[in-house]
Amino acid sequence: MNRREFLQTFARYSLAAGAGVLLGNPLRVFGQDTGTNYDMAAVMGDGPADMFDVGIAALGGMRRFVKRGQVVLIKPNASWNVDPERGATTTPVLVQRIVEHCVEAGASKVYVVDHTIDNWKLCFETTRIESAAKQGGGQIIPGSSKGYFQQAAVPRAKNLKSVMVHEMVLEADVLINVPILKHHGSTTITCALKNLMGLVWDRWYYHANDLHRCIAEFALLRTPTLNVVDAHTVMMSGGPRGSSYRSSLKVKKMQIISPDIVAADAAAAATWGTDADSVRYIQIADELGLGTKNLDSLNIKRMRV
Amino acid sequence: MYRTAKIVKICVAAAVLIMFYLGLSVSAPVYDTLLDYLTRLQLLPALINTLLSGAGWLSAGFIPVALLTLLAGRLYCSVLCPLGIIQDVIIFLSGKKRHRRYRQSPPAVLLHTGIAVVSVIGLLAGIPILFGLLEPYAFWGRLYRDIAMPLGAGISTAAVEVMKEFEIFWAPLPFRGDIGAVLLTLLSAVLLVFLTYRYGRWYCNRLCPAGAALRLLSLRPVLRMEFNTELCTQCGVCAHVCPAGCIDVASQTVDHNRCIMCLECTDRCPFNAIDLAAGRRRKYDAGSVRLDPRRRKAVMIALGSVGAAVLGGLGFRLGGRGEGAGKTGRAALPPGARSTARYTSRCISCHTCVSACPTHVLQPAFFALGVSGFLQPVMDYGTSYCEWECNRCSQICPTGAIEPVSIPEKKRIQLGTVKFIEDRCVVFKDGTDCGACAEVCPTQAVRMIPYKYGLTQPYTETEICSGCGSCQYACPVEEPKAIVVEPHAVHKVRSEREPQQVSPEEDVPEEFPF
Repeated sequence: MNRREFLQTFARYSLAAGAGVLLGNPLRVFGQDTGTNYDMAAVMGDGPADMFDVGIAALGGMRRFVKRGQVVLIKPNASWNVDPERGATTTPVLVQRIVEHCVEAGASKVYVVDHTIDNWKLCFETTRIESAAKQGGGQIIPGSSKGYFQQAAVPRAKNLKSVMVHEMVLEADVLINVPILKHHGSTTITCALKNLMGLVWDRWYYHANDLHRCIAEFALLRTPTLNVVDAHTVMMSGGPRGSSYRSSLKVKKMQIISPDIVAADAAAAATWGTDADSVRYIQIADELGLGTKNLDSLNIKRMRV
Repeated sequence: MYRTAKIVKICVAAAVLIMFYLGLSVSAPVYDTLLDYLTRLQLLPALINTLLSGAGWLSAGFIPVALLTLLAGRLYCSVLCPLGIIQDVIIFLSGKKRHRRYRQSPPAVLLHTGIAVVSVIGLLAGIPILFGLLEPYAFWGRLYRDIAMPLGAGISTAAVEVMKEFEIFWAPLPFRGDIGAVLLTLLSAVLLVFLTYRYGRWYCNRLCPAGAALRLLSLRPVLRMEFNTELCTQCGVCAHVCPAGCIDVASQTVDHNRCIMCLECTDRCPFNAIDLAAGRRRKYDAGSVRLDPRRRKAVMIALGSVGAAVLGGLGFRLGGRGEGAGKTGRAALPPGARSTARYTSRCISCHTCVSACPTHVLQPAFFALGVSGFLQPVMDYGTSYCEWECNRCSQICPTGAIEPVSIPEKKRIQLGTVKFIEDRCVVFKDGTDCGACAEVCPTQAVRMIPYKYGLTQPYTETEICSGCGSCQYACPVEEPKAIVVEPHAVHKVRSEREPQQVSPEEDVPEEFPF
């Protein structure tokens, strides 16, 4: 930074701060939390979008996680070419509301990506996540074209030493993980950690090289800035894809928001009806120090809408 | 003369080619509909669709084509046949547009009808290889799939990389395929370019079975090119610009059944001595053509060949050949194909379904269906799977080899059944969780049940399996996979289980569970 740039930046920030002070609450300008320091917000109520409004406010607002001018990457679960009512994919209005919060917090770009299992284009249409993201002011990035993936080394990993990852994961300033809580035939539940599997190119590698360990180790490459668990309508069996036969849904009207991905999964496991110790990837992630599965050690804000 | 008509004709042809291209590359309802109309108008595919596959007469696009040909000659070859239009593009691009020199060529009726008869007999006998290789729509379909698609994929991939720099994120046009099919099509394309560059519409009047059929119908169209002998100086310009080589300057006659109505001759004639004539023959040459022995011979050969093709084909059919003749191989076939026998005797390898398949699971086979299934598309579960909510191939197939099925109908079809090979499975081999197969199964024909050490293992129920290949594709084990689809030679109807739960059940916890 040379002197001119320094002066320009200084002037810009001064103006912004000054305007902020003049216009309202000075604390909001700096995007700092306003006295709350919760590790997790757990919300019970109707409407995933309204629940998110309340939950994120309790954590200090989106400005705590997204700074002005930053690039945000949102990772919903859009994996299946099925209607959102199936409970297999993230509720579209929730994605839309999160995008809106990011835009409002001053994000320069909000991208939504998923390397879907079914045909990418069809998935984003059918799950209505594409239109929701666009309405919120976000942008869809292709998640199923190899040209968008780059090889990256995963530090401290034993099984997943290197992974082809979507390049936006490496470039974005903020990563927001928006899984939907579901039953999973082999990993019991799928939620925050498992959702990140949609950021890699080669799913086969995971399955062939100790699925649980690979799921946990991916977070060593990048842990999300924020995790928003959609647990409004929860698939209890027949997951993760679900079908009319042998798949049951329960309306739990819950949402879990936390910057700690392991804690989010631990809370999700309890919500689903199991516990963190019964899901091996949560255990491994805890051991790797990616977060804590011990919810008692956390400061949790519980709210009803 | 007819400069405007010629320009209109070029515009229509260009529009048709562009619509074909867009219809195959862009999946949007409007382009899908346009493509549908255009493929229904393809003469031979429409004939097969109605006469062999039993499609309704509403989709019998050969009727308007036949009427058009009786009325205005082989205009079809200039404005509706994609391969014909491509040949005109090659002629245009050859750069010899202004100086090109074609020569009058012999009618080659015997050669042309001979090839057509052999290919049609093959088709009726259930071995449509030659027919498929020569049929112009199929030829074009392969040109699109093996040349235009990879080119589009390459160019768009490069464009995506450039646009990334401007923070615009596009998805490249997809292409996945075997190099063998691409090379084969490239070879045929080189041949076509050479023939067209050198001899004009040589293909259309020697090899094309649709061309042979249209020659029958255009022996004397209502609207046709005729010389005006009073004005003609026999300068020969018309013959030099005629890509069909059908103008005989010496006798001042046009061989109507080879004329593709490109209007080049009348446009170039300095004396307006060659002109569209309608209705009754003009007075000055009345009677002369009627007695033309060449024409008589052509008519005889043409009628004879129709008889030969039909009788020959029927003979094969009655002799027990026909459907499924010599089909030794077995591969999973797209929903709507019904059976290997039915499918292989109707598919002309146009690869429209291959281009349109959103998951690219349809890939041209070489010998998977036996020699007679050469180039016909099969489901390649090694590289992809059949999308549950899709019936595109069945909607788009121009010959009805893949019969139209609605999505609910399609979901009941069983293409094959799942087979789990325990000792290759990750769970049994490595003792780790996997479940990739059950995860993707749309019917729960594969699901995970408890194994030991807290692991789960795949469990299959073949009667509800659709044979979509999702499990086989998802299986992380290197070939041969631990779970595969064993294809049926004749598609079956799969069982469906009653839904366990219709609507979600309210289960809001009283207290926060953590």
